[in-house]
Amino acid sequence: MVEQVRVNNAPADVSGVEEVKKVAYRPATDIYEMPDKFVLLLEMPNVKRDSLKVYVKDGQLHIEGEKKDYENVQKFLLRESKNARYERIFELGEDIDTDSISARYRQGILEISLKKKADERVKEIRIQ
Amino acid sequence: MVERGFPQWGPDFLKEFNEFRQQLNELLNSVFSGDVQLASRAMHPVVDIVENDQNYTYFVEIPGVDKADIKLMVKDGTLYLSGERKEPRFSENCQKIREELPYGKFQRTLPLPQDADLETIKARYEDGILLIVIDKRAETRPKKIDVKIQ
Repeated sequence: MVEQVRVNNAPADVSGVEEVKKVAYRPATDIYEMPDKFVLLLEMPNVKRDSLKVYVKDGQLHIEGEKKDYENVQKFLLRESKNARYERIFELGEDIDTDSISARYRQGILEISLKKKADERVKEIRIQ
Repeated sequence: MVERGFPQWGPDFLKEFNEFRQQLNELLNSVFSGDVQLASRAMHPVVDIVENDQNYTYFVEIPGVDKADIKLMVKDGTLYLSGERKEPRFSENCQKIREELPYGKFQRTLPLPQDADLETIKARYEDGILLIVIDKRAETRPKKIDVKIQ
């Protein structure tokens, strides 16, 4: 799987006051390959559930999410987190069955399972 | 490495800052001379601290950690956090083809404000965030007085 780096194009025809799209932060990702599937683990803590999106478009896997806002803030004594959207795009290989993608969100980690197409699975040959 | 207090609380801020800068330089020098492994492989939790009238809330980003693997301790006005993120185990014939998440032990030491009422400290873990809430001591909270206009 080759990762696609997307370039944010600035809107050319902005007039008046327009909010600039929040800069997206690419969540750190681990990828595991198994005989029948790939599993992606993305570090996305504190995400709003309803903002979490995983979809395939033009052979690319899109992952998006927005962080929850802090409530009742008067002052930040320390601010290290990136107040941003999460976004990452991966190019999917031909061997992935894009109809059977599943995802779950747990402990701030988004886990995505990508099944391989049945005929692409590696057949293990036992040596006798 | 013990972290220093926040700028607004430390009278020796400049001195502390210079010490910190020196430590940072030493670290950078050791990294670029190849003495140590690249520091980014160690897990270093990101922290936000929010203040309002009633309390202080610490937001610590430690996704993928089991609650049982988090240790939190208060000692001498300082918050000590430590823990471990364990690598998930999949099937035997599993190959890691991309590795960006650091695993293993982590720790952070964070100063507590002087007016924090340590008896009230509460913590919970949700969505990869460890939330620590500490009330301010009652006498230091700003009192709200409504003045009647006659």
